[in-house]
Amino acid sequence: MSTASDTTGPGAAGPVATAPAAEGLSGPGSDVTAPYRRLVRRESRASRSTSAVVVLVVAALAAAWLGTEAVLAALGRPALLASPVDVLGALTTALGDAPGLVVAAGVASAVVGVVLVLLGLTAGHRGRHEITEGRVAAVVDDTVLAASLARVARTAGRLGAGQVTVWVSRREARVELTPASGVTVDEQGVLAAVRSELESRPVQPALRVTSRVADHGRLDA
Amino acid sequence: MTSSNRFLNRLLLVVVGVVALGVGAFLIALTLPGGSGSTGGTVRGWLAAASSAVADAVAATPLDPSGGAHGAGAGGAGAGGAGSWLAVALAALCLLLVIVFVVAAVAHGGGRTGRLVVHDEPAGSIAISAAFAETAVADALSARRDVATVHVSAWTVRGRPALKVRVRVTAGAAPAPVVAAASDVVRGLDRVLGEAVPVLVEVVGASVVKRGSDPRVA
Repeated sequence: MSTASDTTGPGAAGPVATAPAAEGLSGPGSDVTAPYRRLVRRESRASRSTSAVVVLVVAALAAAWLGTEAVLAALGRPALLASPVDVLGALTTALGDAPGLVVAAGVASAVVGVVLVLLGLTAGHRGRHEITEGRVAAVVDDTVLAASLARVARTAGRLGAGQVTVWVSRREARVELTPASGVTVDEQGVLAAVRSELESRPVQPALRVTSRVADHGRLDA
Repeated sequence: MTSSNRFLNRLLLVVVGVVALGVGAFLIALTLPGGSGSTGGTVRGWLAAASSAVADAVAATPLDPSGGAHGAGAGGAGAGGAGSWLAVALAALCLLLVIVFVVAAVAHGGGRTGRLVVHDEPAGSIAISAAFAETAVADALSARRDVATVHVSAWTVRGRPALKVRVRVTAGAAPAPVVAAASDVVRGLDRVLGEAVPVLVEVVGASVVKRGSDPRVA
């Protein structure tokens, strides 16, 4: 029993198993992995920096315009577009003269608002998966995963280059097979190969493998 | 791995979005048909009240109280309240806002560092340049057949240096062996540096412009 617990010990403590190796060369080895969760999370999601900078630049331009108008109004000079102190009066006038324009401005503003709120609240996944490795943190583009799984599928099914397409989304890998006309495709064999590849080299979040064989084969495949 | 504050980015987007949504809803509600009891009538009532309140405030705050008699109030009302110090205050506020917005926009990005390890010792301080680790890791990895290009950069994460290794693999290459190889290289680097730094490996695909060759080893 004691030998069994000894063998499961290092296996169960996967991430910790590398800590002694790192500690062997210098003292603070365990805190090397401390920022990894944060790093992987930041690399897997959109920073929204571009949107924020665009909003800030537009806001700065708007504030500059408003400031200019305010100075002109304080000096009693004619306004460039509308004086900030009687913008409500101008709105009242526009309501009588061109209500369509007011509606259009309102709809445009509301659409911009909805887009900004969605940008601010959605996760913004960048299509990446994490590979767990003791010493380093690793993120892999979904296109790389799809290409490597497609190659595994092609080798397992003895298919040509254009016969396998793999789509990798956050939780699913979809394998689409196009058989050569008159030849059946070993769908289960391909699926098993792709699944075992993902089991031997797991990614996070885990991928569920599904497959689909095209209804019509192709002659040139 | 930039040091941009992502929570503030999202907060800014949500706040500006909610304000734009509110302005849009207000403008649309203004044009709704109906009398004084309906939604459109009520909102138009608010607009009239706010409009007269602004006009009153402008008339009550002349820039020059002694010269207020020469018509900033009644005479200047049509010109948009010429001479009210509210307009001057608004201009100052706008100047402040422009500065804040520009500073906030410029503050994005950043976080690159040139020093990977710094040892302070009695005899002096020892610094190891990030360029050393960059060339070491890139040279060790770029010899692999499944690696097209390697780009290494050093960043400051939570006040400490960290490396980012961006590996572009050839088409169809499995990412896991590349990550394992990078891990081995970094362990070697640990021994050379005498200190372990956090490392992020980023595996990206063959570029569209320069296609990675597909090693056909079926």
